[in-house]
Amino acid sequence: MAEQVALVVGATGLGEAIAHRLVADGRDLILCDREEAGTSGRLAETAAATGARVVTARVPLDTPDTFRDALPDLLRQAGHDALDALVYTMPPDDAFTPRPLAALTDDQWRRLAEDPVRHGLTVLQAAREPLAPRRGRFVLVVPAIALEGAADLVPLATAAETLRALAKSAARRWAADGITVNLVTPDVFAYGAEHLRGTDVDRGEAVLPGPTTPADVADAVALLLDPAAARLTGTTLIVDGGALMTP
Amino acid sequence: MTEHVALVTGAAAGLGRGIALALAAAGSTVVVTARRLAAGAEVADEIAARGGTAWATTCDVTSAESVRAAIEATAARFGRLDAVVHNATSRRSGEPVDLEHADPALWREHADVSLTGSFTVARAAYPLLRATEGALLLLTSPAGMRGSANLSFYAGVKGAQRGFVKALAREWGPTGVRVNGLAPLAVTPALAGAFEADPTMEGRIADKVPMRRVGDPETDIGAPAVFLCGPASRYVTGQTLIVNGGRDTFL
Ligand SMILES: NC(=O)c1ccc[n+]([C@@H]2O[C@H](COP(=O)([O-])OP(=O)(O)OC[C@H]3O[C@@H](n4cnc5c(N)ncnc54)[C@H](OP(=O)(O)O)[C@@H]3O)[C@@H](O)[C@H]2O)c1
Repeated sequence: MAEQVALVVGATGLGEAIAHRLVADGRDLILCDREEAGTSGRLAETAAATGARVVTARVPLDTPDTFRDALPDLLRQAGHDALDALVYTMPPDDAFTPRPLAALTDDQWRRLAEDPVRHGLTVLQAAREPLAPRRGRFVLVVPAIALEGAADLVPLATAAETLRALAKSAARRWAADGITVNLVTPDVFAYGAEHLRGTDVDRGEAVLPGPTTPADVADAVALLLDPAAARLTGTTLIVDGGALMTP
Repeated sequence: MTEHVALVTGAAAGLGRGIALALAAAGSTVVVTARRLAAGAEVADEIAARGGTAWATTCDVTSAESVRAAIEATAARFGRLDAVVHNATSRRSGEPVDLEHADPALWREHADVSLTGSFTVARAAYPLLRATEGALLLLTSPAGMRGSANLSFYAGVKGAQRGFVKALAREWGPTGVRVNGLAPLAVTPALAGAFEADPTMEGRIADKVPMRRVGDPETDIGAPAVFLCGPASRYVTGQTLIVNGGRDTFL
C-alpha cells in the first residue's frame, strides 16, 4: 500500500492518462466513472510494477448522495481512511459535437449544459470531508473554452465555466482546512476532438510544436499535486501549448 | 437612439429598473418585463412620466414559454427588437450557501434563472436580434470570476454566464449580433435594506472600491448598459465590462 491515495473521476481519455500518471508516481488509486470503470492494460501494468492498489467503481453522479455514500467503502478497499487528491475530469457525453444555440432543444440544453454541472457539483460537494484530514488537493479539469468560448459549443463552455467558478468558490471556502482547489484547462484536442480542427475553436495559435496530449494534461495535474504547489489555490493552468497565454 | 427597442428582464426594481430608466432616457423604447405585471407597469409609468416610451409585460425567465410569449408580444407590438438585457437573478442570490450540504433544489433555483434563463432568453430573441443586428447583454458579477466562499451557487451561475457570453459572441459574430456581459456594483433595494440594518456595511464595501462608494443603478450602471445595448458598441462582443468603481482590475 502506498502512502498517498488519489481518486480520479472519469476513467477514459484524460481520466485514464491522469490515473496512469498518479499511479506511476507511487499513489494508490480509486478510479470512478458513471459507466463501468475498467483499468487500461498499461494502468494495470504500472500498478503491478509500483505495487499500487487500484480500486475501480461505477458511481452514478445523478443523485447527489450516491457518490458521497460510496466513498467510505471505496477508501476502505483502497486501504485508506482519507484522500490526498481528488481529480475530476468527466466531460459530458457528446460534449464536443458542434450545435448552434438557436437550434438547441430544452432537453439538449439540460443534457449538455446542466447535467455536467450537476455531476461536477455532486463530486465537489462530497470532496471536503475526505480531503480535510490529509489537507488534500482537488483538481478540476475542464476544457479551456471555459475561458475563451467557442462557436457552436455554448453548452460546453457554459458548463465548464460554471464548474470553474464553483471550484474557485470551494478554494476560498476550504482554504482554512488546508485543502487547495486548482484547475487545469486543456485545449479541446487533448480530449481527442480532432473533428474540431479548422473550426472556430481551432485558431492554430499554439506556439509549441505538436498537439496537446492526454499525457501533457496528466503532467499538469501532477504539478498541482506536487508538494511544491502548496501555495497555489484557485489558479488555472492552461494546457494549450501557449495558444492563449493568460492576459 | 432612433428606432431602438430594448427588453429588460427583472426590470421592476434594482438594476433592472435603473437600466430600463437609462435606456428610455437615451431614447430606446423599453419593454419592461417582470414576473408581476403591476410591478413592471409602475416602472413603465415612471418612464412615461419622464417623457420616455415604455411598455410592461410579464416574463418569468424560468419558463421558456413565458420568455417566448414576452418576446412574441414585443414583436407584435413594436415589430422589432434591438437589445435584450437579461438582468433577473434568483431572489435567493444573496443567501449564504452551505456548499457541501446544500440541497440540489437550491442549485436549481439559481440555475433556472441565470443558466437556463440565459439560454431560453437568447434562443427566443435570436431571430429578432438577427434582423436588427442587435445586442444581448447579460448581467453577470465579479463573483463569477473570483468565486465566493459563501455565495458559491451565485458565483457558479454568474461564471456560467461568462462562459455563455464568450461562446455565443463567437457563434453569433458573423450575424452581427453582439453578446456581452456587465458586472456591476450598485445599491439595490435589498442592499439598501442591509445598509440600514448594519450601518457600517456600506463603508466596509466602499473601502474596497478605489472610488470609495457603491454605485447607483441608474446613473452609474445605466450608461454603460446603454452603451453595450446600442450602436456605440457595434464592434464590441464577447466582453464583460466591470462597472464597480475599480473594485476588480484583473481582467
Ligand atoms: N447589485 C449589485 O451590486 C450587483 C452586483 C453584481 C451583479 N449584479 C447582477 O445584476 C443583476 C440585478 O441585480 P439586482 O441587485 O438588481 O438584483 P435584485 O434586486 O435581487 O433583483 C432581481 C430581480 O430579478 C427578478 N426575478 C427574480 N426571479 C425572476 C424570474 N424567475 N423571472 C423574472 N424576474 C425574476 C426579481 O423580480 P421579482 O420581484 O419578480 O422577484 C428582481 O426584480 C443580477 O443579474 C445580479 O446578479 C448585481
